[in-house]
Amino acid sequence: MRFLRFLVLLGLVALLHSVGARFVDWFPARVDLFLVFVVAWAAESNTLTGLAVGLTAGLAADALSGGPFGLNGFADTLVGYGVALAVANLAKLSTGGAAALYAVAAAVQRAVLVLLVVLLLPDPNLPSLESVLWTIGSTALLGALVFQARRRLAGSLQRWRKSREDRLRF
Amino acid sequence: MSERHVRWILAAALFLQLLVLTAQAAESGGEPSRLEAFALGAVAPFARLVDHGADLVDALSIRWRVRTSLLEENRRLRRELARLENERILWFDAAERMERLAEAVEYRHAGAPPLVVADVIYVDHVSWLRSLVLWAGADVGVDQAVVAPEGVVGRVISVSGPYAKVQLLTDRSATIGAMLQRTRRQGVVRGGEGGMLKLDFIPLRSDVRIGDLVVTAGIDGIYPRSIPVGRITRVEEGDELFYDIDVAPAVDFGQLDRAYVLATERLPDELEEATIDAVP
Repeated sequence: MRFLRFLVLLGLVALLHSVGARFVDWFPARVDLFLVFVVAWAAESNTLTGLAVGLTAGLAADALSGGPFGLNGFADTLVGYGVALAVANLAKLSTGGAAALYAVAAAVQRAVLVLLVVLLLPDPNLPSLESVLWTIGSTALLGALVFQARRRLAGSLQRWRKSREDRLRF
Repeated sequence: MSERHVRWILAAALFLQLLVLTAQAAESGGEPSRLEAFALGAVAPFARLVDHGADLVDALSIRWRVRTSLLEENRRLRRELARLENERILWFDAAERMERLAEAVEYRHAGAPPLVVADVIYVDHVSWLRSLVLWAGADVGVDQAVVAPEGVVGRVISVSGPYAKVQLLTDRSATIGAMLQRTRRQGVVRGGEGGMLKLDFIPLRSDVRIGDLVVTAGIDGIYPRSIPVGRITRVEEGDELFYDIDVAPAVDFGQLDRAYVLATERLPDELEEATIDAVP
């Protein structure tokens, strides 16, 4: 069930990414929805799931992007594992803390990607500093939104369950 | 599963991916892996779905907006069609004459390759890992040229069923054998910074001007001759014996919604090897 939910959400991310790229020229250069998805999922999982999610979502991102196939797969595997490990060792996250976590994850992912292309390609295309900063900012913002939405959803679900239990008890 | 086991799995996953990446970097331009084809086949349908939806919305809005101007446009297009028909007859006549002359001097030239019309379902021409995905609907192969009415778009680098991923002309690792249309001076066009192109190996003694049209030279085994590549926007003396030339691509990748895959045949392996090993 969880795996099916993962596939459906990954499909939704691919759809949203395609919508963004279709209507806004700069969207793929400044927003990485696959990365937001990896961090959001890994933050709620153990390290094994984190790395598997990073690998799968990264390869999905590679399917649409240029450059050697597997660049995003490699970087997102590291990010997925790292986020799951970090969250397991952290106390409860606030919205600001979540935004910082997403920003750090985006910075690490970009750094790994740049390092890989520099090592692998003879005359690589490198991202501009502006696009890197945009990606980090947009990932942090979207991460904070996902974090808030998830917290509200969990609160509503808890209240609904409690009221249902109360009614059953009555 | 213990954390130690997970670390081993992480190391194995990263190592395998690094192997795949290194292999790709080593044989640039080779056949795509099965995993890449599978990933493209799994993700590209989402892009196609979006493309279909956007086309539908466009068609509806156009139908609504231009209903009143359709009659006028129809009249204009009929006049244009008549003019083009006259022009076509003249060209046909000229082509026939050229054919006869070519026959007389036994000149052989490659005919125009067959075209496959393809929908552009995903394009990212801005980011540093730029790419374009086509829905060709028919079998297309790796290393086939992709063009638009305005000029060269790029070449196919990965195929999965009806989907094809294209390396854009503006990619830093893309190169094309090209020439100046006015003087026939040959050089090599490669992707440059900010979506521009660079024209290399044009000697300082050559006649080069801003605004010159750069076309394919037909010497790389992928692109046929005389397809527009772009126009020269800057010419400066380079460090060595050659000019430093910027070229603006002929195609506006942001406006691209349809492209044509040219079913060109690759040079036979023996011939390619012979060309590489040739001693001047």
